[in-house]
Amino acid sequence: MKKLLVAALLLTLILSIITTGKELELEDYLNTASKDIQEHYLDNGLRILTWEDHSAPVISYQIWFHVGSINERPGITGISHLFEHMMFKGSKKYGPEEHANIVKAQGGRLNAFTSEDMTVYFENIAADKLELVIALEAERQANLAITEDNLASEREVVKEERRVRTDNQVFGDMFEQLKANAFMAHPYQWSVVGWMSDIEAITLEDCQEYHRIHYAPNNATVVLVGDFKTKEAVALIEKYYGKMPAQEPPREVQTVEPLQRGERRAYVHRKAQLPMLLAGYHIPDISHEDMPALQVASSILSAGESSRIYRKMVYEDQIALYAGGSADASQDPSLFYAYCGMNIGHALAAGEEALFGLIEGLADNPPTEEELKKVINQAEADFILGMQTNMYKGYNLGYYQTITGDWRNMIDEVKHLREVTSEKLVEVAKKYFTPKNRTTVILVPDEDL
Amino acid sequence: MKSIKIISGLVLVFVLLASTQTSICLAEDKEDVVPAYTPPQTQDLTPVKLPPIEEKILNDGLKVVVVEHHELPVVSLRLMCKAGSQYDPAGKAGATSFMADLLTKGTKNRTASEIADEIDFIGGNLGAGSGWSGTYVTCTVLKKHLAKGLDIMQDVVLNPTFADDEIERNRQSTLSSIVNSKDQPSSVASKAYSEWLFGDHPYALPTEGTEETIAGLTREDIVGMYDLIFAPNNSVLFVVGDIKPKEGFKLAKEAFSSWEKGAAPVLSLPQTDAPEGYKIRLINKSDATQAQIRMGHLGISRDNEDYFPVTIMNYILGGGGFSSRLVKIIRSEMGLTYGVSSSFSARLDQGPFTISTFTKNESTLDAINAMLDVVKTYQEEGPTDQELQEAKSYLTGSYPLNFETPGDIASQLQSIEIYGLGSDYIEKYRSRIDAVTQKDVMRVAQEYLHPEDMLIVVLSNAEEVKADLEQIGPVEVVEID
Repeated sequence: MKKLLVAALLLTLILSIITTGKELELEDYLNTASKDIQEHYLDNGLRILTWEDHSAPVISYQIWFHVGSINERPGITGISHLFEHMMFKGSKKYGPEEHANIVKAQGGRLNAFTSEDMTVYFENIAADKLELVIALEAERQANLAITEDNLASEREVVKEERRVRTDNQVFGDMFEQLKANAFMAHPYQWSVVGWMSDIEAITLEDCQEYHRIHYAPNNATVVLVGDFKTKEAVALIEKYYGKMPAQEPPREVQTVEPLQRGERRAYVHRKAQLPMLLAGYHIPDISHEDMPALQVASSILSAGESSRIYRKMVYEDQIALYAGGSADASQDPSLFYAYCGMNIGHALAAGEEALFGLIEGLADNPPTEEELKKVINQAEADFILGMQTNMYKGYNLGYYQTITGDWRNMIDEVKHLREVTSEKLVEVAKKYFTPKNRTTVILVPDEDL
Repeated sequence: MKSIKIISGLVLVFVLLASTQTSICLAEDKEDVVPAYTPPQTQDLTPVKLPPIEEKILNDGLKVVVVEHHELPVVSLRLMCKAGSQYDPAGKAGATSFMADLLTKGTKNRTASEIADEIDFIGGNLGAGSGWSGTYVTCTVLKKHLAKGLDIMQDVVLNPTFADDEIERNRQSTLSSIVNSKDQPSSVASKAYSEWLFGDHPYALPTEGTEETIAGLTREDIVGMYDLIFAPNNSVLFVVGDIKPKEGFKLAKEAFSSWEKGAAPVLSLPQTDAPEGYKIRLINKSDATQAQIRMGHLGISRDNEDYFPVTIMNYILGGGGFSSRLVKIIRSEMGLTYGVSSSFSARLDQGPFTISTFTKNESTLDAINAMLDVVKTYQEEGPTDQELQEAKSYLTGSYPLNFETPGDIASQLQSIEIYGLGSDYIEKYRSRIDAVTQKDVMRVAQEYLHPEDMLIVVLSNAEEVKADLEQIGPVEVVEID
């Protein structure tokens, strides 16, 4: 039976080669992409990235502002995110929420998100609505109605958002604690949503100043992907954005997180069912030469059910419900996260030992050739699968442009992963995966709360 | 890896919409840097253009649907059996989902670890799971790995062993997962609402089961579900992506030629009684600073002839995010919440109608009263012309966005198969939406909304909200586990 199966398999393999001819390789895709992606600038500094794709009559229009919680300071933490809400509250030509209502009434979908390093607004819509979304985005960027009423109502909405994501959510709480403990100087120490007392205290003047500097054309990138002609699209963007004045560039983030000289531990007592642990090791920024090796480490440790952490902790020993590790690729040095949630009847100590053992033991157990090959295969497939929609193509472009300063780094990502050797991986594991460089937050289920 | 970072690291904000009629004037009236633009009001009602689709029924009764999509070198395989968790026998909630979990955990030819090793090595995704109406096995691979992907997939579909040690392993992780979800206020509230609304019906309990039912499942139960559900003549295989129909049919035929026909399962479901008046169940979580609220009653089944008017009616009420009345009033005007929505979950059998939100403990009563007012006012007044027009333009205009990727296309075709919506469904969708009138919406608002007869589940600190809730109706307090 098995022999037959193998024969059938070989046959199908041969057939598929005959019927499809040459496979499209990743290299071909990347080469074509780097030619298709175009970069334009307006005189006021607005950057425009376009990527034509005529396979369906739709577009994704995105505007990326290079501002996030990294640009905040104590007293106004959360303002980047609060501001994102304000962007929906109307402008000179439109009332509150009218921007979104117009887009939806034209069959479009829209949303926005804020992270530590960026604030992004997007519309996915039929290709013939391009001028509409350009006009609407330019309008709120230039003419936003920053009023006391709008601020008062969105402040309450954002407080509810904080309550639902962080205060009443075990994982949200743990994540906030990890960042607050791992960073003592750098702005990554507060969460994107901000501290409750700061959300309450942000003033109208704070918002106005924030908008003037950070929402200036010279601090933004338009990303447009889909069915349009680049020349026409750039002309339309010039028409609506061209007269916006440039502003002085935002102050650079100067703070450098000092070297951590020993493990930090924090305990969170909450009503909870099962213990869990969230930890972080300091790692460098996305553009650092060690990052590809850290990404490979992340895959070896926890991409898929064959990964080291899953196989050992979840499958073989069955002590954890979930466990893993992943490198956070950010503009400034961030963390390699490690986490595990225990199964019923298993103490956290066993999870901690196993998890840290696997991560910190990577240096003594270098990856096999097979593991490295697997990681490259996974990276190639993830890359291709990440390019299935206009929106994700735009995300990838905007992400690399905004935090590395050059979208071309997206094209080179897989190449850099391929160059990672076993020796390099051992080197970075020794360098970063040490108890001294670790911050550990432990959830203590507490019935008395 | 970067896209994972984007999704996980961010605060994704659903900036829902408010509307106030006042227009804003800026103090200075200087020359406008942004020209005005008035879009032409167009509504595209032409049928959505689909890539070439071909289907064929194999000798064993398996229907194979091949969708060509050559944009990227990717092929997605999805096998769907037209029977899902609503076949879970009484007292055995979670049996179907448990069975599906085990499909990838060992076959006659491969151990669980070998399956994981092989699929991970080619960078593929393999998954299995169940919904109320169907059970699925999916496999997405780069085109160059298609033969390998299909071989693994047919193996997990045809040869699962349901080994005892894998059953115990899955029992342990399912139980831990159920227990762990009790820390999610939103999940606890939703589960309590379904359980109360549906009584003896399978929809009462979550598809993953409960601690009691999972503890009691035997190997016979699991094998029984597999035998009941997996039959080629009750299944459809979707092959979508960078492939020609001829090749797709050939591969499918070879892979599933040894599959034996089975009897199509028969379903009989109990009747569920509609709630009368207001009944409130308060789940006490003493450390909560925010109340999770679920309220509603029974809704519609997918074959309801009013499906389209109900869809539009609900879009305007609370399905339309930015543009819905619930969001405009509860979020944007009153600032009581970050998210509020209403939904009719249309399943094979009558599903729930649910309004969901969350608000700080002290505004729980205000939020519930305000939501009830929105429903009552809407029922009395019906939609405005503008609301109706905007709902229709959104639903027709955004329809093509549901067909962007091979996976999107497959999931649309899947619904058509499961609910028997007819081969012209996609073609006619836009004109059916456009045909709905104001009168239709008024009528279905009367018929399917019952703002005087609702179950209300609140998860919060009972001490802080109980007295307030008693102003609405009788309150039963239960402690959270």
